[in-house]
Amino acid sequence: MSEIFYLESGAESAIFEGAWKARLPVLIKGPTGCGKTRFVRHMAERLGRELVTVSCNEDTSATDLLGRHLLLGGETRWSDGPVTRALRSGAILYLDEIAEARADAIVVVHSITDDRRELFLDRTGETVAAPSEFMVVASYNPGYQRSMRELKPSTRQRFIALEFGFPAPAQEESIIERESGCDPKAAKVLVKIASKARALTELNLLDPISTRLLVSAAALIAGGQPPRQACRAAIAGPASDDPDTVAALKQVIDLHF
Amino acid sequence: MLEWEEHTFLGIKALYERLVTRPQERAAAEVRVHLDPHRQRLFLLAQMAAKRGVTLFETEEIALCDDRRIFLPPSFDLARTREANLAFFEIKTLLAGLAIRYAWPDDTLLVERLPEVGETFPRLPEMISQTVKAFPESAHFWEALGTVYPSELKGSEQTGQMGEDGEGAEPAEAEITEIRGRGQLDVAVEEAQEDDGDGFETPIHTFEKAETLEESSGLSRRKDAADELRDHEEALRQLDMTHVLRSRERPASIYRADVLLDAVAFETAGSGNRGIPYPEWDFRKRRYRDGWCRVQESEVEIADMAWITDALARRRGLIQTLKKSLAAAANERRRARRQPAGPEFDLDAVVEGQVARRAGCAPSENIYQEKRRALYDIAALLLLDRSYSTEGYLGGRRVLDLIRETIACVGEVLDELLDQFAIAAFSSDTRHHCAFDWVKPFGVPWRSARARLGGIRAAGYTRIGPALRHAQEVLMPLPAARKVVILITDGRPCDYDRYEGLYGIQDVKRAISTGKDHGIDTHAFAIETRARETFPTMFSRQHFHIIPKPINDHLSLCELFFPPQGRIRSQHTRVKPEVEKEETVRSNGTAGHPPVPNIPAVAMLIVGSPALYRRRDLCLHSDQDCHPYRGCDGWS
Repeated sequence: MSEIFYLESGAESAIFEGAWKARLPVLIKGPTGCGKTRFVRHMAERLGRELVTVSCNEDTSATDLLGRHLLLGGETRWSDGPVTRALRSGAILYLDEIAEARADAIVVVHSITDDRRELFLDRTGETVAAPSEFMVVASYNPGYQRSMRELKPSTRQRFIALEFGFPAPAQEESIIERESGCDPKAAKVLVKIASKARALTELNLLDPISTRLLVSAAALIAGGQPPRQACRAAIAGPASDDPDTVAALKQVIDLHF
Repeated sequence: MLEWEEHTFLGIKALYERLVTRPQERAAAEVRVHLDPHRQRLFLLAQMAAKRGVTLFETEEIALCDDRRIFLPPSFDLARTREANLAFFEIKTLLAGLAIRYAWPDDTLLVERLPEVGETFPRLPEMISQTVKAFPESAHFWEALGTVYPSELKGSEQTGQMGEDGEGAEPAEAEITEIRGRGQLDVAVEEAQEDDGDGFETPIHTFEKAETLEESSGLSRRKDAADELRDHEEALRQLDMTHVLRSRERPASIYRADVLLDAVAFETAGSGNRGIPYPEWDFRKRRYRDGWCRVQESEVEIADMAWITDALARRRGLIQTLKKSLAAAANERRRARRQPAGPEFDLDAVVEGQVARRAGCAPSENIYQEKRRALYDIAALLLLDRSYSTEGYLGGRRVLDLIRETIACVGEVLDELLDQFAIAAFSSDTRHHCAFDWVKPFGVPWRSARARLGGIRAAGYTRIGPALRHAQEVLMPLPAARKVVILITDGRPCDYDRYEGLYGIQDVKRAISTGKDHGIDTHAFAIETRARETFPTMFSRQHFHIIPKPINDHLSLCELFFPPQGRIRSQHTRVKPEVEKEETVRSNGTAGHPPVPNIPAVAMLIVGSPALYRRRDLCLHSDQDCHPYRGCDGWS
């Protein structure tokens, strides 16, 4: 039985498992804090594979992924990057926020995500073939405010895609309960608050209130903090830097607790 | 002489005021809460309650909301405590938001809706009952909330349909409210009298269906709101103008013709010393007129949330396209080699170091390389013309709408691209009244400012000079390596008091070159093909863009800001991406800014051309406080 908790909201685990068996790469889209990484960890555990995670940022280059020569005294020695390492060991390779990486880094995954399933290391002249257990999973956040990155169709269409949103209210409540150990009533109210704040997200006035934030708030409440204080600290504060927005969120919180 | 009764009356009245009225007023003033300081917070509350884009509308009238606006009083003091008055604002906003969200009908009794309210906001009924206690009577509270107002939108739609008289509506035809006449020389200008609605009317001969209008001799027709211009189109084409009127009134329709005015100098009354003084360049005398113009700085007050939500939703595809085409430019990095620190080795330097060590010399420690963003450190100010002429139509769309929507799209993209950008609208009404209204000042987040784009209204004339000078003044102290003014105008400088022709052009030209000397670059977009006449004189080559006619969509307008990928360069066809843009920045000494890179066309617009990368040291004065428009005569 799985150790890592994940509450299924559709058929995503079946699709993921099917993709793994069919040796297809998976792309997970969804806002921050909606459970993308948790899902991948859960699935890796379920399939009994090692998980190699690379958090991509705008400075992530092909060298960072594949490996580089290191300088040791007067000698150079090749050192595998995470992608090469995952490939050799047949792990599940998880490229978090793949759209943030530089174009040259994204192109690296092309040859391991189509039917070739092999990687050519130009620095060492070596070709590494992927074992059948190897799988590529990538995530990205299409609506992310500060990012103007979008995946090229040539990259996107190599993957099968799973679209993640925030869970339905009833599910979100049970996730919060399970993760934080708070009582069901508090979880219900937290979800209500989030649904109102997410109206601002749709209007682009606020970064999304994620399930992760709600869980933090619930954890504080379960730990004995007064609910109002917990929500102010865990929801209103992290959600925005704009004082008016924070004040408005606090007000909405006060209207619930 | 006053009679004793009158003395007595006045005495009692004074006493009454001192003992009753004034203490009441003082008490009210103490507990009064104004809308302004709480506006932004209430605005956000409203969006959360309504779960969609709604606008706060400040009005003295007592009403709750219509289908997209929440009506709030400018201040409120009916309750006995300050807290209760503030709570009243909050309650009203929340209730109105709920009314919009659940589309409560016009005759809704709010008291009856409390259970529903409690469902959504558990603590709100409690808050209401506490607040009501602070009111002298609970009825006052409910009355002050007002009722749901029949939607204005529905009303206008109905009348619009009625007005068509059952004929098939042809939107394209209905939109034409500007007609172009033929050019005219020797036209005398007279000042319009205020309120001359009952004056003589220009004779219009109506023969069956044809109308003729032979001559306008300065007599004014009664103004009305009806848009008859199209009906008179044929007649107007024949119009001979010998006299024209200048009036401050807003036109219902525009008849555009070139006229050469007789040389009457308009001197207009000033309004004292309000505003910030700026000089204006008199090209004939080759000197500045000191303190000639006054710029009044303010902010666009109306924030139309519904408009911006709507505009952004409609243009979502375009915004995505723009962002995509810009991603390459925004994230372009160039390699800075031989740095003392950095994430990667510079292999050449490493090899050289090894060679040096084997040869017994001390190797250099600069063996790293790092990558820097090519688009760096830029402050841009978008300056929009909002003069009456933007009420004109271009390709079936109102110019002002075209500009506003374009700026909405451009702003979305710039927000991610630049740290420092601002948007302001300008118009003028003589040299004493040059309005400079901020839509988004520097430092205000785009998200909270963009709704104000919907609040821009057309007014006045186009005195570009003072607006440009003020923009430069704002940009000058900003800590940015490059500073740019992007001007969007209908193409010609003009103002009520003879700011036109060569005088206006030369003044603008002067303002631009002064800015350039102080490191501020100016780009201009003209919305009219006729700007071809004036723009080349005002702007140096490659710094102006004239929007070709007709414009059918926003894409062509946006493309001017951000040329499509093909024209920049194709991201995918580059053979050696890294090598091509590599430039060496030596670490010894002056690597403060990387050298001007080979910037793609987009960036050219925003960054400006390398040649303009000049600094203040061009000023002839060594004095630190030297300033282009304040107390330095080096420029005159």
